[in-house]
Amino acid sequence: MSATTSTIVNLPDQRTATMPKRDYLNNEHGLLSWLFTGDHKRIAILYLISITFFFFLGGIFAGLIRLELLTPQPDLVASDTYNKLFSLHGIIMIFLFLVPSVPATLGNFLIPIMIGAKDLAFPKINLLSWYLFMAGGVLTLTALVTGGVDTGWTFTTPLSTHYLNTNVVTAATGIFIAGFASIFTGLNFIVTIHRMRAPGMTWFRMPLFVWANYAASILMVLGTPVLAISLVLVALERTLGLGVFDPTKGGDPLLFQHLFWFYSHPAVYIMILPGMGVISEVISTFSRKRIFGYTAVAFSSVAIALFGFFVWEHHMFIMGVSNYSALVFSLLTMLVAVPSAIKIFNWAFTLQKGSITFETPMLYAFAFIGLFTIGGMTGVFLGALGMDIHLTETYFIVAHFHYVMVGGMLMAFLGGIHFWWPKMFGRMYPESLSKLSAVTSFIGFNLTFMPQFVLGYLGMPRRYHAYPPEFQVLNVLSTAGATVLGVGFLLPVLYLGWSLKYGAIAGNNPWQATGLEWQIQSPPLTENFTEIPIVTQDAYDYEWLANKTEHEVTTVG
Amino acid sequence: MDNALVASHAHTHEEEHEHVALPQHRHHFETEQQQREAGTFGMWLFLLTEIMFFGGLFFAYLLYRNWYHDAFVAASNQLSIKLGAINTAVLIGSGYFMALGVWAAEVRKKGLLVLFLLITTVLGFVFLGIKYVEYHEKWEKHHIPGEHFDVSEFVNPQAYGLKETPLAPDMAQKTQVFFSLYFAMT
Repeated sequence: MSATTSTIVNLPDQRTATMPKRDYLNNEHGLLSWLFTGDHKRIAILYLISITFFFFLGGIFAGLIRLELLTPQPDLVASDTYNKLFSLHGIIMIFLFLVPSVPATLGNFLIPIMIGAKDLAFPKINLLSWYLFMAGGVLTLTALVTGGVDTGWTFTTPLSTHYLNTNVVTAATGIFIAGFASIFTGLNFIVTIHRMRAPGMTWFRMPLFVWANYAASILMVLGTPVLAISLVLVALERTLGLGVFDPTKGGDPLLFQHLFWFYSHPAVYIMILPGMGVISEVISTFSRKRIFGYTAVAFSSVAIALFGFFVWEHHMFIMGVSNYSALVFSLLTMLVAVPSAIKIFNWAFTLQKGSITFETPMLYAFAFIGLFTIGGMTGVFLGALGMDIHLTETYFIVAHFHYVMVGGMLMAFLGGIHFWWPKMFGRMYPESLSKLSAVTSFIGFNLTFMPQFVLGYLGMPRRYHAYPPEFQVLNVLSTAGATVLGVGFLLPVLYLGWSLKYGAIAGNNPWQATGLEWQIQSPPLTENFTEIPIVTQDAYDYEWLANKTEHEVTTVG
Repeated sequence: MDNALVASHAHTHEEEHEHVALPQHRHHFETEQQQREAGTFGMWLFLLTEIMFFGGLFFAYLLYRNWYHDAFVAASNQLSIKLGAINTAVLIGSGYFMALGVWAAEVRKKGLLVLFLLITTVLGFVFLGIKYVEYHEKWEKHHIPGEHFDVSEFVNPQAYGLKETPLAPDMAQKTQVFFSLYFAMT
């Protein structure tokens, strides 16, 4: 092993290295072997391909939105078309990309391996989950090509039930079905983590990625059904004329808001928690230290999940809810900042005096920490009752949740994909190109969304495609940033695709990481382990890894 | 002896692992007990999601019943307790026979399994039949929410031979929320 301090990457000698003869990718051949697979790793790949498709579809809508906003006049698309663009951007990005992003791809692939199991508890339900996701996706696409939907991603009543003549029912059915995909993924994770851990893998020896996904699974299982029922009621109201949300029949539209946000606020944590899990793994590996305050970080995931259920009304402060309940929900909202800060501070302490190296996943992790902190802090602005009245329904909100979801979650997703790419496919991505793309995304992201904070503060409302001319400079900056961001997202697809065939052979453990997934071959066997491991070490125990490596060298050599 | 027979069968099956004894034992579980526990746990967890699913409706019912108490009382008196009780028994019965069917499959009694599944199906149709009678009555009385909804029976119950207290027309309109929830929930 070389004594260089700039990198910890340890690849096998490329002249002699070979890919494993047998792994989960070449175990069986043909399309059908993929479509009927029960292997969690193959299902993860299926999910990865599908969500990448939906990500770029949603990205095209985002591009069109930014293009329209380049000029103050409504000149590129008609008002109705613009409404459809931002609705479909939101629906696709949230339900078909962000919610399944880390759990269904990386979580599916890694959780069984990380806890020393051969598969998830219910492989067939796992496959069913992918089919439900695809059915939901196809229905959403159907709504798209048959005329679109323009409710916004929130399906707000009575707009969605009475005043629109677009494909609300089709889109809602799509989301309803995709919701069950999410429920099944969460259910599978919870049962697997409870019942399938290898001998010695106690709760507090699990990697923090598993903890984070466990917390997100609780939210998926408890929250998603409530979304499902509120969408069912919207559909019934449109088709059969039921009146649960209809004031003329005695119903209350605000009830829809309560039910919808009871899921959709926790959904934010469904999206961000697995990303936080990725960051824990990456930070530990590239600073060669156990995560500072492991227990606190583990419990902060669960705390975020728990608090997440008691803050939903902060989406409704201006909708005529009682002042007293608004006060309580504002305080509870502030409470979420505590576990989030616990994570950020503990990651910072992990970095302190660590042997930090700057590989691509680490660059993404740094981007996450900075951008998520900005996103989280601006969330505190919005949770404050007085500020919220000024800022709500403006571009400030748009900037806030993009900082959390794109700056936070998407950076974590990309970091995770780079980090585990060698494990998933056995080959390395090109390092300098990927660093370039990480930096490009970071610059492009800030250029896109930083001006939107200012725009929102100055009073530019969201969801309009025309604006006063004095806002144009900031909007042009934002659109320019979106172009840079687009390049930053397109690059990984190209070079990751290239690396599948031409990348350097990674070997079992290119990062010298401690997780169980790094102790097996890459790409793994279908059964993951030839022999179920017996776990005797804590997570992130680098001494254990050093001893083990030394031992291997002496016995083999 | 029995085990050996089944084990040799497992060899021919792609998904089965060699050391596995019983055919229903999946390859990725270490022990049969682990598999059973995971299955039970998963089932209860799924039932929990159902509570959250219908919880939304129960919450809506609770809220509106408090707001429109008189309308909900009058409207719920329209329902037949007898038919509702019979249908509840029918549903629980079909669930019971389905559970028996699972047991029959576990102990590999194919005949019993078919019988139990048939009973479950028949009870399912009985449920739908009773539901038809109930819905038909609502249809005839114009108690289905929407354009044709008619509140006269609640505004002027005497004319229909009912002993209810008459409701003010605006409160009577709220019976529509009750029937909305009624149809959404059943």
